[in-house]
Amino acid sequence: MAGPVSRRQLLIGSGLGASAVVAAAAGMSPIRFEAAAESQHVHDEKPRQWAMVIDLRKCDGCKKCTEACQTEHELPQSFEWIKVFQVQDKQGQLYNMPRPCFQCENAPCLKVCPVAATFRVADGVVLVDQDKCIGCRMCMAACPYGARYFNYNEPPAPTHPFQMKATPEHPVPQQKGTVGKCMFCVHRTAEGQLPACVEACGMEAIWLGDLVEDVATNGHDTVRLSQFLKDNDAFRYKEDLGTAPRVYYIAGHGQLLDA
Amino acid sequence: MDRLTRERYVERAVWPIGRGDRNFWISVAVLSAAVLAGLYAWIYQLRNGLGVTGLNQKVSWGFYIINCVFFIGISYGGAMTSAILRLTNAKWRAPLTRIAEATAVAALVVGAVYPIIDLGRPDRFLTIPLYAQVGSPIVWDLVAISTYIVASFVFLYLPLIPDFAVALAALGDPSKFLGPLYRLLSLGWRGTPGQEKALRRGVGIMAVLIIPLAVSVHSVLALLFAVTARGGWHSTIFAPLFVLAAMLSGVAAVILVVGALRRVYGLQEFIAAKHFRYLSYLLVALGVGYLYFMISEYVTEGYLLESTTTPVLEAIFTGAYAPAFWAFSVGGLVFPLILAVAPGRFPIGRACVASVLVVAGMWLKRFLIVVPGMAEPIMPWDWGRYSPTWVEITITIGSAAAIPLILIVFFRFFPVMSVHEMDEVEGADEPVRPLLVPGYAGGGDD
Amino acid sequence: MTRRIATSLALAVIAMLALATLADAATQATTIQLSVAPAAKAEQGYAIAVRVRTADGKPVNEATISFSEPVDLFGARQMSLGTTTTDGQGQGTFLYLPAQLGSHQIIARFAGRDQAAKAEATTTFDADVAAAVYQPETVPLSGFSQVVTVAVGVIVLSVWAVIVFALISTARGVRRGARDLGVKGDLA
Repeated sequence: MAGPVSRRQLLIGSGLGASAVVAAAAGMSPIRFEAAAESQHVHDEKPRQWAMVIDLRKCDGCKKCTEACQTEHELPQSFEWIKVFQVQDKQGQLYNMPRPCFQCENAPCLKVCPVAATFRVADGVVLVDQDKCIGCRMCMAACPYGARYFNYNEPPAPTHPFQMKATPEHPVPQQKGTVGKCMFCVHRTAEGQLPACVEACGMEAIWLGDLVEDVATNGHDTVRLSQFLKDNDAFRYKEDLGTAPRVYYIAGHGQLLDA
Repeated sequence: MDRLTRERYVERAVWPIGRGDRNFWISVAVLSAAVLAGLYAWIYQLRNGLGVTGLNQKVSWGFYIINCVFFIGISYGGAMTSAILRLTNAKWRAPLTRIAEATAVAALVVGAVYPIIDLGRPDRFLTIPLYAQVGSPIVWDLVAISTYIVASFVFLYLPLIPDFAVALAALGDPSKFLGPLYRLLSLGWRGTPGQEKALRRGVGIMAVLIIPLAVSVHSVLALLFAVTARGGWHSTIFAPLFVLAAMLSGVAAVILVVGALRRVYGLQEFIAAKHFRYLSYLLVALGVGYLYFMISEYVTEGYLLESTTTPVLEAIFTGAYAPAFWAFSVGGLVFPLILAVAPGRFPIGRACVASVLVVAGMWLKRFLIVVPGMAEPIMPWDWGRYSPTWVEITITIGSAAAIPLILIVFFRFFPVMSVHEMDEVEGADEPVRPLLVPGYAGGGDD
Repeated sequence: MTRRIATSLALAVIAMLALATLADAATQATTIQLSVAPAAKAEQGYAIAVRVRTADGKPVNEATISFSEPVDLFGARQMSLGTTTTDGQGQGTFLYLPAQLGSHQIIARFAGRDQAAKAEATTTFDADVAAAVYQPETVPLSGFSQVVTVAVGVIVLSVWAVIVFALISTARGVRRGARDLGVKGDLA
């Protein structure tokens, strides 16, 4: 009788064990989209939800935003966290389109990261923890906007030798073998400064806004965000993919280039 | 199967064991050199980072992901030949199962290393279980592949249990090392009815389990691509397509390995043209199925011509990737299938040539899936470009050499044909059970 | 005598005319009367009413009044809310649904034009009606996805259990058979 009983015991044992593990796992939320209080982000006390508006009528393609971002984060030349495209629309008119990371509310990069190195903080910005990133580059395959960049090589030597340790909010210097991207300069906004690209834009084409307080500024003018978007028929790029991006564009038709 | 034939069968099955002739050592030397070159390239990459590859910001996945899918696909030969043929009770499978299962394990072990080679921070590989996000296809990969590896090892080992006892009997006492090893691994096999029942149940369970496991592994590999929004990737047919591709390349690989080992180990008496013909039928059935899936995908995409998929279709049908695509479709799929199944002379030779073309073609197809999908303009920029460097090519060659190396070393120690399977299939004229092993019962001479 | 009277009269008339013209050409100071009241429909929020008059009480019509609110967004800034144009009575309204509850300060500015100087008025009001709080888009089917994930986890664990079972039970079966035949259990 030893045989059948022990087999049954084995089956029951493994079944119970399996159920116990699964119950424990189900108790924790299996799909984590947000990091729980991991960010050392210093907020001004207001609950912000950052968004950006880019006025394509005004962008002249000077790429000062790209350069300012590269300087601010000590990036190599191939890293264009905000990248300016020159696009020809269907009517044959040229316009320039700067593309930062869209900080999607339904971000594909966040869903596919195997170790939650990509996570979202309370104010809606998607950050990358380069101490966790394993460099599998699944997020780069998943991002429909090509907004993520991989450190194939050692980044340029830091200009400040006594640089504080890099954090997800201030990923300077970048780590070789990990992925980096635009993070709406949360290290600057936490100190009450506009992101580097917003400040650097000579055409005042980039606005940073807060969806909670419903306000946006480009450093010079300040507007009611929802009204600004409505009045100018703002749209989001490839939003039919369901990504819910936080960057709005005001369509340009080559106004600046024509003139 | 009469006793004489069975004796000859056993003799051929254990013939390579312990046989260290010149050919063996030359092969080991050449293959090891290739494997070592691959290792050197990998170490070079570990020290210098992924910047030594041809990958860039647009094409961030290349040879390593292609090879991962390719080699794991090769491993499906084991599931197909051993498991499915067992479940469909195809008697002709018996001399092939050991080779197929061993090839599967070898290819799987090589293929499973590739995701690690591809990582930017391979030193953090072991942190994945700590932080595993169950929504991530990479995690699904890890779970599926590790489960499949364990299952493949078990599926290889279980039918070996009786074969160890047979080999021990047939070889006398091969060496100080092998004797105790066989005794340990054979677990005291005698061929009693109770043992037969236990073995049959265990092998039966694994045969049934390994098929959905195999399906899950390549489905998960397919989903790695299919859950993204890229043109040519975001296709609902990807999971079945990858599974069928893996089965096709797996059967082709089995034909090749069987063809080679048959020649090298002198197994012609037991592995005949019939086996190659049947395997060719299997190859053609799978190949036609794969062609059907391809047609379904391209007609669906090519008819509506959505903006995301059209650039990729243009590139592979008439653009930069067209030579590779048509080489694959005609030279790697249609032609070899016809070659393999056409009646006429040289069935074994034709089956082998066809299999070489199919295996090469399937590598090309994986290339055609990965690279255009990465290079396509997902934003208003130009097409990306990718050309592999010596690092990627050397690692590929090294890993490809590792498979035959593993196989010839494996068969130096373990029987190359499954005796037990043959007994099961053929039945025995004389009762060969219980197995009386000279010098074995009661702890005889060592 | 008549000539002197005539000249004085003429000079007086000229002086009066000059004075009169000068008096007419002076720019009047403007006042803006600013008030905030709940709008007719609750979901419209608040109606900011302005009444623009010159110092002598005449209404200023067709005046563009721009409204702004001081905000603290990377420094003190003025968020422009919009504009309204006054009617014949110098009155105009602007509907404002604030984004947040609580105290709001509204500044109304008139840029000024000929005969009406520029002017500014400020008022503060407490809003207990505001626009809906911004909600990030919820991920669809998230509850369902979690159920699926748990189910798949159970399946994976069961598969592992079956593999382990197949290996162990076969090994045990074979070992037991060896023992039954009377061979010593220790085979190593």
